Amino acid sequence: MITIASGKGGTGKTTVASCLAMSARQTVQFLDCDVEEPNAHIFLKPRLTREEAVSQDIPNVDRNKCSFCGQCAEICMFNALAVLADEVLTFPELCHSCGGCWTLCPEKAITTTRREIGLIKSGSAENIHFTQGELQVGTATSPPIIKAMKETIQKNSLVIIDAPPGTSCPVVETMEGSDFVLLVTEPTAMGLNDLAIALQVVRVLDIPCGVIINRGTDVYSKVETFCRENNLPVLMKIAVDRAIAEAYAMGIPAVEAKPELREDFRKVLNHIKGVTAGERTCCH
Amino acid sequence: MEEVNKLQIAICSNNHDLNSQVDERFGRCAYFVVVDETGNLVKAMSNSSLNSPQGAGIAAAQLLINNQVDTVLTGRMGPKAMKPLQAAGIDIYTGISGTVEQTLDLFLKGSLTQLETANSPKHGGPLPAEGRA
Ligand code: SF4
Ligand code: SF4
Repeated sequence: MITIASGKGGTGKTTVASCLAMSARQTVQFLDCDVEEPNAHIFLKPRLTREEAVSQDIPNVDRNKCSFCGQCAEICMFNALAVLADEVLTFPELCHSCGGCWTLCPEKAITTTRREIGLIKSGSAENIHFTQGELQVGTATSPPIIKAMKETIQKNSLVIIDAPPGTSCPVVETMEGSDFVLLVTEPTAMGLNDLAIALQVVRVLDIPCGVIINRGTDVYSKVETFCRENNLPVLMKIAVDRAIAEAYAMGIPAVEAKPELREDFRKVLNHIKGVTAGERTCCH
Repeated sequence: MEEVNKLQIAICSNNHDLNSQVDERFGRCAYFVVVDETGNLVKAMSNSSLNSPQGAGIAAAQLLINNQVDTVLTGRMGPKAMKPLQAAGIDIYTGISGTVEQTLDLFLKGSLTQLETANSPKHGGPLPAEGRA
């Protein structure tokens, strides 16, 4: 299970994830976990044949039992409840279903109801079994959808996951359980900054990792220096290329615009397989 | 116990006394300075939800409700914070500027505008929004 991540959006994370999947010589399970803006389907062009709703538990307060003690609002880390003198207001779109409020309520006044938060769509394209999550607009919590998507993972298959951008909890949820995290970055000061933050998260989770530098030129070498100093292998550098950029704009993956790239992506996959099989040392 | 009958007015501020500068942000101001209509400082409450990743306005509203505030003077407020405040019958005024003391004067002169609907459509988190792919 390989997760493709980057400290911020726009680094080419989805391009890399799609190209890896398309270069593999075996069946791949591909999960697009960027549930706020899933876009890997643009490149992989799967036929989506299945759709499944994901819902979460939210609190439902019985005003007749409630003593308006305020404890539920106090315990909620997500500020999804407000207790007034004679009313409890809930903000379901902020609820993370932690269960704190209904476990704690001294009057047993809180039961749960379900609220739909998004959809999981799946289908296939050639060697790829494709799944994407879509978060309902106005919902704060993507981890439940990501969790539900990861439950569809079949053991012993090659799984490639396109993570949401950034380093917040959906990203952690996505990375968790991965055998390898591939960080995609750009050779710029901003790219380096985001890479450093993303690396911290990966190190905390204790997952082997490597880097792909996208749109690389030799002008900015600090990213490579950083990788060297941090024992972080650079597995591939994708050069700035007009043909790739033009193809990208039309939704054509880089490996179709430049088929010779497939070999490079296969090498990355082989490296990762080697690391996860324990044959090679990585960033640890 | 005479304080109880006086109006409790909470003002969003970046510090805890009458000379502090006001802060226009409701959920993310550092302090709520509570004064009465005669200009006495009643208390200053630090806004512990300031750095909440979400729902800071709701938590701030809860703090004011728990402290029996009657009126809040602010700059901007989103719909989520507004809902509990309105439900609790707390009056909301906007248009604050200068120090806490100056803002109280503006309020007493009737220069602030009462807010009936949110004037800050979307709350922002404590961090700038991340760029997207
Ligand atoms: S904890 Fe239970 S009793 Fe207390 S305010 Fe919340 S719902 Fe009501
Ligand atoms: S379940 Fe957890 S997040 Fe949801 S309202 Fe209750 S305490 Fe808050």
